[in-house]
Amino acid sequence: MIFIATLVLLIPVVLGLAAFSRRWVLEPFPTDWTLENFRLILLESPGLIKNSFKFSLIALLFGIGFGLPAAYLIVRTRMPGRDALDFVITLMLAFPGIAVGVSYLLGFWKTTPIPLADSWIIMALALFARRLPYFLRMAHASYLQLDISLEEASEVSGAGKIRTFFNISLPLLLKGVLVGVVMFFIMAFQEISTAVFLYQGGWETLPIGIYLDWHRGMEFGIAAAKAFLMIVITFILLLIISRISGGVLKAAWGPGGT
Amino acid sequence: MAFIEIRNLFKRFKKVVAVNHIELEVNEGEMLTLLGPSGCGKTTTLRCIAGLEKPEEGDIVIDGKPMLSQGFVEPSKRGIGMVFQNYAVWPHMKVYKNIIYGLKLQRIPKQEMHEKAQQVLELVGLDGLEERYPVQLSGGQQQRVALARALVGNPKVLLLDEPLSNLDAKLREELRFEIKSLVRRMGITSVYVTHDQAEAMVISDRIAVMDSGNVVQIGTPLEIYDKPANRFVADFIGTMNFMAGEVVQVLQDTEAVYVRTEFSEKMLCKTPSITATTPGEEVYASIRPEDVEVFAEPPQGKENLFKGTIAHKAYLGNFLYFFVSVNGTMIRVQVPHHLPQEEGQELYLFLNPEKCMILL
Ligand SMILES: Nc1ncnc2c1ncn2[C@@H]1O[C@H](COP(=O)(O)OP(=O)(O)OP(=O)(O)O)[C@@H](O)[C@H]1O
Ligand SMILES: [Mg+2]
Repeated sequence: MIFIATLVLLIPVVLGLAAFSRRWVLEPFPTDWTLENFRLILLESPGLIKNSFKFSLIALLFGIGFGLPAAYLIVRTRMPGRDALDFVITLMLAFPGIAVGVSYLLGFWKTTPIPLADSWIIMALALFARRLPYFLRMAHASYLQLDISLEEASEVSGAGKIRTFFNISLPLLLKGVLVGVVMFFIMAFQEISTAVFLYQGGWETLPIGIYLDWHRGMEFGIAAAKAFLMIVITFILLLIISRISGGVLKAAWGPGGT
Repeated sequence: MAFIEIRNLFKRFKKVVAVNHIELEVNEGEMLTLLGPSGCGKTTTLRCIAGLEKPEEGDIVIDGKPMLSQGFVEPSKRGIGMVFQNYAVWPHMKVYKNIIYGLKLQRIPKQEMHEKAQQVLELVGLDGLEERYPVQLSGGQQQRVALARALVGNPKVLLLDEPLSNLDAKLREELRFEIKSLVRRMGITSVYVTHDQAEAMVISDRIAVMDSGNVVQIGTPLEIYDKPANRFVADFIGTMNFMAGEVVQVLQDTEAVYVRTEFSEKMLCKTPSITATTPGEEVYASIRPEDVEVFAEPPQGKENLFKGTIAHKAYLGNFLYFFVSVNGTMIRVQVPHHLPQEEGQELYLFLNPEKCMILL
């Protein structure tokens, strides 16, 4: 217990100490407290935060637009080719982020037929592609909990497949999907291994910023402050998830529901 | 022409053949039951009618319209009401919304919709519960919601898949009669799936008995009980004594058959058999326990009279049930009155030839 708690809690404690102090390297505890690090981030590189949100949100939109329908087709229909689609998406799990980053960089290079690497959209696209299997797993898990006869009852009642999806499946899956969507956003928000290969000046995200600060050396306080900021943002999102799984649950299942 | 015609229907799941080229007709206004043991293909057949499964071969014609041969008709376009085994009421909608769901899709005016909903709510005895969520209802009430939802749109066909199997025995018996009179009053052509033979006997106009993807017999409950097509049907519906034997003689004019069994040289079976038999054939001479008569002393001039010893005896309240050993063959007997004989004592069994049948 204590061991695990240490592993988890050490992170925010150390980062917090570093983020709110100046030049804490040699002493056991920092001596010089300051908000300077945060001031620097917000004043000098607000673009990092903006980029992080922008790319992750667009990745999320891709996910909702393509990932969820693909997952639906695979899990709930007998569309020809769905096994192949399933295989291709799942294959994504086999590729480390570095592989995705490097191959997109080369494959979408300026001189190729699709020079996407030249546009910032590649950042969002890569984040989306990297976590694509996640949508499949999420949809799968949600659908496993949804009794198929609820959808069939709707079809027999006169609703087509699409109406059934919106009237029955979606409201009942909403909780699972929303939780998954927020989780996806968190993962995209924290992604670095793919992004670090693809970014160009002006496209830096928070994780890339941290990496660069560290790389340049002696910017540990600022790096820690950025990491701390990420943790706070993520934590807020996690709070939202717990609210969803408590609150929306009731809305979806009625008072006194499971 | 029948209201629902199932022609040469064939459906398989990978290697498992669930429905094996069956033919079935359901007449207008009739309640037909698909009866058979678990896994025999009842649900699959029903789902094919609803359009929830796509069979590989065959056609289903509902009210003159082919559902398969001229392009697959989607479930939503078939005009069907269906009650699922697990109710399948939508947990995120109140009872009222559950019931008007189908009407709303048809864009029926609000006033009319409300009237129809009230009517059907009253019919199934749910008035007053409109504003409840399904989780606030008992199993029996949820089942009524499912029934109301299936009936509210005046469907051409009502399909019910073991609608009572999740309820306790008392409620099940009550609802059986309720569903029967309700459906009959509305005159809806319906197909009812169950593996409970007593339920099938009560609720059906006709029963189709299924065995491993085949329909083995179709008939009224009485026909199926009195003239089972084979050993499987006889065993599945009611209880039957099967006495293995060999045909020794067939009387051509009367269709009566003499059988040699383990306990007698000649046993006469007069009930005409569905399949013709020839001497030398291995068959089962069969008689229902309640058709066996017992005597303390051998009566005069009766064929098929055998002496036996009571092996077990039990009072089941309104009748007496016992096992009699006739030269080692156990015969089950059911009589509606008390008998002075105890276990170990002898008596005479009269296996009335008029009630004895030959089964394969
Ligand atoms: N979706 C499916 N995938 C694979 N096999 C199936 C599927 N549905 C049914 N089967 C198989 O088809 C056969 C017939 O199944 P079906 O559900 O029609 O039986 P049933 O008569 O309704 O049985 P029960 O009384 O247990 O409900 C069974 O062997 C079953 O295992
Ligand atoms: Mg079934």
